[in-house]
Amino acid sequence: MSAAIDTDAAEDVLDPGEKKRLHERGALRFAFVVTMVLSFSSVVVTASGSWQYAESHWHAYLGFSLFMLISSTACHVYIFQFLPTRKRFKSDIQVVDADYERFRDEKSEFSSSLSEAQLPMFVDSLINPKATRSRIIEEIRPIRRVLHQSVSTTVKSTAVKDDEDEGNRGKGNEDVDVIYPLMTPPKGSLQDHLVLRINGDDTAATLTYHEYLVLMASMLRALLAAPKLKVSPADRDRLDAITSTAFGHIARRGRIESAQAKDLAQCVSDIERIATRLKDDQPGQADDEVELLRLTVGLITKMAGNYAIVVVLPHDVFQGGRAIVTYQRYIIPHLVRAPVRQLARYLRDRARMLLGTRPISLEIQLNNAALARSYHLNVFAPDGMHLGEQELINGNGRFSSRNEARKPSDPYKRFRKRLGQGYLHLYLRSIPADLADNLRVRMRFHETPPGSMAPTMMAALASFALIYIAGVVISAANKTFDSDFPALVLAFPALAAAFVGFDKGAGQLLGGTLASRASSLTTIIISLLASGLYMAQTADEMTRKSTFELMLIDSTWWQLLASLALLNFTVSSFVWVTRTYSYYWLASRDTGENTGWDGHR
Amino acid sequence: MSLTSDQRIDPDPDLPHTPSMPGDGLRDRSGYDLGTGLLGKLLRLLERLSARAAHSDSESKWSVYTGEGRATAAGNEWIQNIDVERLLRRPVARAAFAATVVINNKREATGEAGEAALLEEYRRQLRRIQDEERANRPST
Repeated sequence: MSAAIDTDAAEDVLDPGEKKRLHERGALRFAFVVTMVLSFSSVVVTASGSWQYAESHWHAYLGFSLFMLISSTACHVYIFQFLPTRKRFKSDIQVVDADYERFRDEKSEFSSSLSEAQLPMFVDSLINPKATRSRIIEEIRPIRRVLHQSVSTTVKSTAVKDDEDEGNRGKGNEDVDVIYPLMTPPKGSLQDHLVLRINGDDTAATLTYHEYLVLMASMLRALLAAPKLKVSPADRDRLDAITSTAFGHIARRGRIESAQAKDLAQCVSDIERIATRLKDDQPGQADDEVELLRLTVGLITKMAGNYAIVVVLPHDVFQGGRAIVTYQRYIIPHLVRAPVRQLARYLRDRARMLLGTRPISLEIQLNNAALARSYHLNVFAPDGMHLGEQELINGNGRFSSRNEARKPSDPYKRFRKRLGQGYLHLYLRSIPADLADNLRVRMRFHETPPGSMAPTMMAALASFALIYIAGVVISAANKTFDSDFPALVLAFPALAAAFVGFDKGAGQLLGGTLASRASSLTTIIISLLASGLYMAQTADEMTRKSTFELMLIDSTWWQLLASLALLNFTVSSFVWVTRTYSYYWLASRDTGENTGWDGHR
Repeated sequence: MSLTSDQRIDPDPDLPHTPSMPGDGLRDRSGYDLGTGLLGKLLRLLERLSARAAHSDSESKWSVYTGEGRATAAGNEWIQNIDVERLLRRPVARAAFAATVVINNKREATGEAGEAALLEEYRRQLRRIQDEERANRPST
């Protein structure tokens, strides 16, 4: 009773419009299902029942029923299956009341805690990530439908470096906590299951949105202080107005839309005009101020499209001026399906989809490579798979070749050799932003033997052996046995194939078991056909003899089934043997590790 | 039908560049251009088919962006020639950051008055930094 009351209460929560829409949808769905059932029954009865002989226009009924069945099924699938997957999620873009003056003039504990050393390092890390990030180690692990990403960044504290480099200039900086922009994801992107760690511990604290805005307001104020003293009063007022508008774009949540992009472009061109005027009016006297204006433009345009997740790194986490900051999150990869113009691949793709296998290819965009001087990517394969292929795409010949003498600052890449291991390791160094924008790494993971192919091959062998024995014995005896037991035995490999072929990798992101599943399906079909054929021959049906003997079998149908079973077994064993050998060929390669220079011996 | 290296015809550098294909410039001993013959066509067909088969870009795959959007996204063209580290160590930038910190700590410095105070503080900080730099400069 209470459950019924709860349901009623839950329904009352829905507004009348939503309730009406749900009822209409339910009624439409019911109507389609009834139409489909009726038209399907009509097709079956019209096409196969004895009723057709009594009715001269049966083909017209059949055509109409088929039309109704196909059209109602298509509508049902489109409306209730396809459309919900394409339903656009309406994000709630929050327009923030970003009054620049309010955030700029805020006198809170946080704004007062900002120090002279923190602000330049923050802007440097935002605009010039390589200055503060010496190394990034990225790990990707497939988990079901998602990838678990772990990015460890070695952060250098420039405050400490100042101290080391220039005597007492940065005196006291070693006690300053560093405000560090750990990530600057594009606005509108949601971080799933984000975990932050400093030096391996769960101790990272992030700034709140309000603190982030106070920080950005202080940043803009500092960057424009010097130029404002050099420009005319009119330009100074203009700079104030532009800053206020630009701050609104920085504070805004959600992606930049066309109206905002236009407004932002106007801000940028205004600052550019002021910078040009300043350069022309005071040639050689205001170079630093002009560069600060350009830096402001860079900051505004970057932070209008991105938001920063800012962590506070306590001063005592830096050891030798370095700390390791790690973030972990889930990312959802996009499935790219084979295009129709590649017909063979398209058909294979669809067969793979229907048989429930997963793609074996993974492609990763290497944007992070531009954020640090040194970048390592490790991608781990799911259990039971090894790295089959690896390829860097869009390098555009900018990586130095083996024997080519290049500068240390030139882009460099190195893959860990494929040795049958279950991971990819790519090392990149000195990757400029324009190269990283299009740089991708593509990898394919293959099943490690014996994998799913060995049991599938055994099922195919069992199927062939039973069919062959049945064919030979029946041909020799020229009759079937009095028992139905052989029919059951013949069907047994179908059960085995269903068990061994379809139980693996169902939930994995990667898993190419197309060959084994196709072979299992063939085994199932052939075994059931053999069982059916035996039952038919017990009833003296399908007993046609061939004019020639094949593999000691003279019955035409047994010849056909035995040939198909042999083909299935041969193909599956060929695939199994070649895959096994290719794995061991990989595993037996020289590791290529240099064990050290042994002099001139 | 065997070919020697001197029977290869080097492409004419004056001609417009065309992609090199298997069978290009190959002639047998009688001088017959294999590229136009059956073998050339077969080689071209094989090359096309193998390129298509090897073109793994078209196979179904998972694709993912793991970074923070395009590295050269809007704005970066403005700053690509700036040595940000050097700029932030220049006296004007250091003075501006120092002045901002001072004003952030002054409760009364808000609004127009706050801006005026910031610029005044900036001037003071700039003078201080320049004096410090002058004092630290090694005498010649």
